[in-house]
Amino acid sequence: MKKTLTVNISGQVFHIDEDAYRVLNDYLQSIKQHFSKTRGGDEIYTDIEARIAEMLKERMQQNKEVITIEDISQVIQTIGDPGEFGTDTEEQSTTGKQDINVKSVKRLYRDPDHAMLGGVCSGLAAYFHTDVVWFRLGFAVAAIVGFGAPVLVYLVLWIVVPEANTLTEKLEMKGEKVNLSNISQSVREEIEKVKSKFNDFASEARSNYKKKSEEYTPNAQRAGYAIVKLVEVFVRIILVFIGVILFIIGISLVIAFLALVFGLGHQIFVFDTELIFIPVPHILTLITGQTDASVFIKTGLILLLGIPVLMILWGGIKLIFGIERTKFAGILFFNLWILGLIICVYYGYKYGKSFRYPGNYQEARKIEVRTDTLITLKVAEAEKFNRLIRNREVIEIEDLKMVLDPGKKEFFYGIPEMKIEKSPGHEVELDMIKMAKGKTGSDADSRAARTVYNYISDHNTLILDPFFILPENELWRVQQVVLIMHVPVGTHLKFEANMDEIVEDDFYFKGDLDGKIWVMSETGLIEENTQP
Amino acid sequence: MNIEKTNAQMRKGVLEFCILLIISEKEVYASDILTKLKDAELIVVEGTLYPLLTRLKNDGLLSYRWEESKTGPPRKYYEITTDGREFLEELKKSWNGLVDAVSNLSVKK
Repeated sequence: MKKTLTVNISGQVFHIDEDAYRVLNDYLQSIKQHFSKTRGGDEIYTDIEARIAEMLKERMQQNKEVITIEDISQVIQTIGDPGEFGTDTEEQSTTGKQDINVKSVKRLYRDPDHAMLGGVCSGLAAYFHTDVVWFRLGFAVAAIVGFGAPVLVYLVLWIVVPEANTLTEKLEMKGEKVNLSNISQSVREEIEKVKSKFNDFASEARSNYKKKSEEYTPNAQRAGYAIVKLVEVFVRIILVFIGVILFIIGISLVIAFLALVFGLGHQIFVFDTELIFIPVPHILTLITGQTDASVFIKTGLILLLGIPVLMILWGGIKLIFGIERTKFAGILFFNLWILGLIICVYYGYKYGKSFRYPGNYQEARKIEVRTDTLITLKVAEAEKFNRLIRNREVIEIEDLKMVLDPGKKEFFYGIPEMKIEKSPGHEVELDMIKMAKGKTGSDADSRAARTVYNYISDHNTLILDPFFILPENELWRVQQVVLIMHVPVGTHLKFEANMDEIVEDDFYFKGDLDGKIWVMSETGLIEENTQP
Repeated sequence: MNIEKTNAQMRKGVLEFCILLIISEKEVYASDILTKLKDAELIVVEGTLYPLLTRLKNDGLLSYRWEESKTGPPRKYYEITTDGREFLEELKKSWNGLVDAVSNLSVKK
């Protein structure tokens, strides 16, 4: 299928293919230009036009309805190109300059056929007979080095340098002699170009965007066209930029994701934002135990979190390299993501139930200490504790508070929370409240009771374990241990190293506790001002 | 020297003479002239004719009249003027002179 135009050649009406029209128009323009400085040039042009109409009429009598590009190239061959018409002596004397122009001159034109923007670079390349890539590269590099000044140069050239529209101009652009063999070669090139353009157009016809721009550009005014092109290039640059950003984010997220699921690293940085390393496999084992469920949940999580991450990465790559949208992959990934969502929701609900009811187990004990002398509070010697606290391998996600010990199987350790309150009596008491959650209240109570926490008192010194632990194979159900120490007024307490990790920080500034002596007053615990 | 170039220049020189000769016989239009010139291998491309016709007309050697055509655009029928005939006679003389000169030179060789 081809688009056909109706034209009036020398008063005769013809139907002509669009491509043929372009070639014929170029040809007539070149004739008009050739005789523009000759006396009676208009008349010569009119005569030739009439002759063309006559020839085409003859061809049309052979049951043909539409003039094709083959007809036109036949006509051009018969009439010949302006350079071949020959000029007699009189013309030579008056139009000698023009003759020389036509024969040898090389002019700088903008090449609209190979243009990216305005065709300045392609025109320069045609003028110097080099590959356009070097000019484009040169402009791009210069634009970066020269702080955008070459962009201005480009725009000026765009405005100043005329566009090569006719065949003659296109040949002059390359500095080729304007004669029949060149013209017919150009016509052949034109035919090839139109053909390939048509093929391109057909294959891209599905894409709405391309179609629009294809339809729009031929009609666009020069200025409008330039702006459209500029905007297009701008959009392309921005898209690539976004693509690069997406790519970087995607890569970071993939690393974070791998770390998350497979426990490969500790801290991931995405644009300076620290993502805390969460050992998903360990947490899963803690919540579900050593069951097959953890495998399913892991799969679900990989799909639920991994697919968006991959999509971000893939989106970046697509934007950078301008890859077309792939519908099939999109649907596949979406379905997999939904599957992941279903798995996660199912298990989330299933295990969510076992966190429903709270329960606790309490024991109150009298501590055998003398209140009239200094009572020392210290954390039991635990090299591990020191190391862990120092390295901050402490995870706190709401109530999931734990210290990691990847080397050991029962790696969940809780840090107890200690409160020191005023006692109405004269003795020191320590309440230990163990808490947990479960499917039912009694389930939660019995689970809480299984939490292991120890302390000892010795020579007016209270030695506390740094952690409470869960027995082997015990599942994590938000176990907590709260210690409430009841101290009579006037009792002096000395805090040794690391106690600040355990004691609730309502009444002191962190760091002020270790090695300091505090005293219980009527209003609560206050720091002893005078050091002994 | 390129033989074709020389030939082309020679033909170009006598082209006006030949055109006037054709038109002097009877009233003709461009396509008739073209057919005859092509048969005589005096021109290669048709475009050559039109500037010459226009110039000869502008110089008052030719005149034309329009005639409607059933198959195409209106045709220009060319006719030689009195000035044209005088001019043609002059050309014939100098042509004969040229032919004699050339044949004399050829014979001597």
